[in-house]
Amino acid sequence: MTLKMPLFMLRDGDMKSKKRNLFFPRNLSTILMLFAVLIFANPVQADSKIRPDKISIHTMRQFGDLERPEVPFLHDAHTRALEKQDKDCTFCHLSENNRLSLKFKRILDSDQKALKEVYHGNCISCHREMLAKKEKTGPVTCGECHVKTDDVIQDADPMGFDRSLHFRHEKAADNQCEKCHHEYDASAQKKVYVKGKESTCRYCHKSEDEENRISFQKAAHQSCIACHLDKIKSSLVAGPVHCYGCHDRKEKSKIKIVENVPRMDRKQPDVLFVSRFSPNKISAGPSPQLLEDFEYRMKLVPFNHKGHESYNTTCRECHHAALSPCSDCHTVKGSKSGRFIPLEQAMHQTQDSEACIGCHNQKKKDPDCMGCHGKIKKDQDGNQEHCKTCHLGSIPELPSLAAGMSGSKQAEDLLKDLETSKKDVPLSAIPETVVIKSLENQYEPVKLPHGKIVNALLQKINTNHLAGVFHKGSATACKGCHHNSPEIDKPPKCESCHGKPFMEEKMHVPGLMGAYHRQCMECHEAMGIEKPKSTDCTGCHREKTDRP
Amino acid sequence: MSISRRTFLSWLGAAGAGTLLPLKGHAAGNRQFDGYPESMGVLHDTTFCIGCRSCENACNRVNEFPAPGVPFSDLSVLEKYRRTTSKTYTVVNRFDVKGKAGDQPGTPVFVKKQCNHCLEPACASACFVKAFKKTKEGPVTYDASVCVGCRYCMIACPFEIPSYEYDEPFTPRVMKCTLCYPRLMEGLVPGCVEVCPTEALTYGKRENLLTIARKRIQEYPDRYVSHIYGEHEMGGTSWLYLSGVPFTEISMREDLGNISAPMLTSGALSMVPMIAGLWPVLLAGIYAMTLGNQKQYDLEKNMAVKSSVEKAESHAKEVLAQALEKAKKAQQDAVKREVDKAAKAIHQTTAEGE
Repeated sequence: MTLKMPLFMLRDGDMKSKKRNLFFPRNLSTILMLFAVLIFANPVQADSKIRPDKISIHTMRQFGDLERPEVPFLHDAHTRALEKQDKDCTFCHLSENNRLSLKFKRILDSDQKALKEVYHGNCISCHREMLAKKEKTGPVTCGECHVKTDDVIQDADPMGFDRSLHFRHEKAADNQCEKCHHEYDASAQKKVYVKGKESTCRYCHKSEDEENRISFQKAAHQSCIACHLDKIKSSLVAGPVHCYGCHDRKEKSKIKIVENVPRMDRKQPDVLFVSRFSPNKISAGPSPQLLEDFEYRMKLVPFNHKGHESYNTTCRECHHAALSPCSDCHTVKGSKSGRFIPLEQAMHQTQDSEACIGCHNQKKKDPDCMGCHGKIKKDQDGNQEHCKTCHLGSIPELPSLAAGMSGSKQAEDLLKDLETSKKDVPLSAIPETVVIKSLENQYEPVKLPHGKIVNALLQKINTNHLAGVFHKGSATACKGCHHNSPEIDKPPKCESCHGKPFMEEKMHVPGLMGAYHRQCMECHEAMGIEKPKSTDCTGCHREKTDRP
Repeated sequence: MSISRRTFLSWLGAAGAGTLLPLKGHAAGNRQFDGYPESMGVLHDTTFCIGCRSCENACNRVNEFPAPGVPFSDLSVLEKYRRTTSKTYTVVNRFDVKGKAGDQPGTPVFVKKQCNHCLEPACASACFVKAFKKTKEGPVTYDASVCVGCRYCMIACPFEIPSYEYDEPFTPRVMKCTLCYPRLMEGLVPGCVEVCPTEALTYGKRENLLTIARKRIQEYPDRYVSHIYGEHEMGGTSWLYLSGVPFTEISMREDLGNISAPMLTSGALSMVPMIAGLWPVLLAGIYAMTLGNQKQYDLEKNMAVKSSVEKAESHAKEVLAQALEKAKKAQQDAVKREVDKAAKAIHQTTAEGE
């Protein structure tokens, strides 16, 4: 059986004091220590069955079908066991160009027989040695390693490099971007650093090995861990080197997050027009492509790039394939580099978080927004008013394009106009209470706390970026309930449209009772307001005092 | 009498062909009933239902049932799945469905259960005294005065709705929702629909209800599963349902198919007169033919045997005659030879003596 370690023992960053830590963990209460003793006494039951460090060894698959089932391997358990014996990574991993190979005790997979021997020879001999020393160790017989079913579940939470981590690494690397970022020079067949071309690792390092480039998984494990190990060797503060450190949710949550990190500088614009004419294309002069794209005359969309940088944790949330303008790949008609997704779809996909609308839709799923937005009809195709929400600019003129004006000043002005054009309903026009008497024959009239509701909505709106930009002042909040009404100070009352139910000519319009109840209850449910309960009639309707 | 393979197959062929004929005629008839035009129905949008049991209360009041043991305001009855009984035409059930993410519990779904008032009711097709009737207004009504209490309707109903007054010793009736037929005749809406606070029940012409349902699904695709339960189930029902979760999760059968019960059974039932009337004739005919065949066979066999025996006999006689003739001739030849021989010898001795 492999060595079982309690979760809390697997903390990184305390590498130097690991020996002490094993038996006297710092910062833990006596109870936890007692618990630790219990765990040591009963390691199998207490150990987690859901682990990020489980690797299934099936390397032999490259030579055809497996003769025996694949081998589950707990990486961190082995690392810890070796650390106990003062052995490091090089005990299992060979070095290749000053980097540790990710393969076990080899650089290349030679042939089937040799590969089999690498595993059988090394694993079993090590386990036997430990067994001879009466130490706790892993299996030595075939069936113990090659198990048909394994009760440990592999669950590695993907690691991401957010702006906070980037900032911390920037500082640690003393702003030497070349320590991580590189390009591949195919002619010289080597990695080179090009200033101003830095981008996300994943743009080049894909899920599988490709010509001249290793997979992202390999690149990340080799580069990150190698650097962290170097730091540890020089007794510096270093990032995780164990599976748990990056891939365990609990451990990951311990990674320090720096708030308000400064912008990453890639000469990106602050405000710009999202348009079919990317600055790259314009600067190339009036090419046939530019002239053709010019034929599609849609009003431009001003876009606050700086703002969006701070709302997102990484650049690749929008720039999913390259740090270049969207329209470089997503051309008006679609191009191969943009997987033939034209610009219109790239911006408007409702489900895709890489598209503007898709991402905004996801943000609107927040309970604070869902009270009103949950009720907005989804089939808005062809609704021109809807388009005008973003397409605020003018139709660009060819001369200004030819002169190379990307128009960021105009875009900035438009966004400012949006800010200043917001219209608030005067407080005097908002009634504090609204008395509803439509169920007067059964209950006392309902005193709707109208002012309180309005205030609650406005408070939620004011603290939300997206609402701050797109809501046209406090009047927009009124539309949450007074739907279908223009944004005016005195919207029509519910009774103006809702009356007797089930009228054939108004079959899509609920009756007054249904409309009231649905409006209140649906909104409360969507926003997570639990009181009053929908089934508690007297929560809103007071019992009639003079009821017979 | 032994049956040869050929005989057996020919019987089977005759029986099979005879059985198939009426079915073919039925299918070619293309009889399809799409419901009475302008008939009324109710659309139950389960996403609006809050499980307040107001509908149960109203139903109880309208149909003048005895007050239940637990008051309608007590929502603890929702803990258990309930069915309609002879004293409750409708019940609301709560379903604790999974959330959108799949792991945590989602918002509970409430579903009202009552007679669905099929366009072609199974209960009516199973009833041999025609106590059930699909009215052109929509409701499926029941006439207790002709009911014989066989309860075939209860077995036939795919929704397990009709119930029986087992506690009524003298005049037990089959009980089920009437869609407030008497109220509809007065121009009122069904009792449950009238009181529903959220309009989770919409009353109207079935065609309009389908339009409403389709529009809701189109406008709020995230809210609904794209299916109107009852549009086609069992040939269509007057009650229609919308749901935000798959219907199987709220205990509504999706395995019923789109063919009404009468359509399913009429083919088989149309064969009853055929089997009762035609099969004896067919089988008797087959039997008679078989008998005839056997007679003919015996006759031919006897004749063949006779003729072959005769032939053999005559042949034997001929052979015998020939043999006799031959023997006679051989005998005569031998005598003649001996006589010639003796004569010759005499003639020789005579010549030597001279």
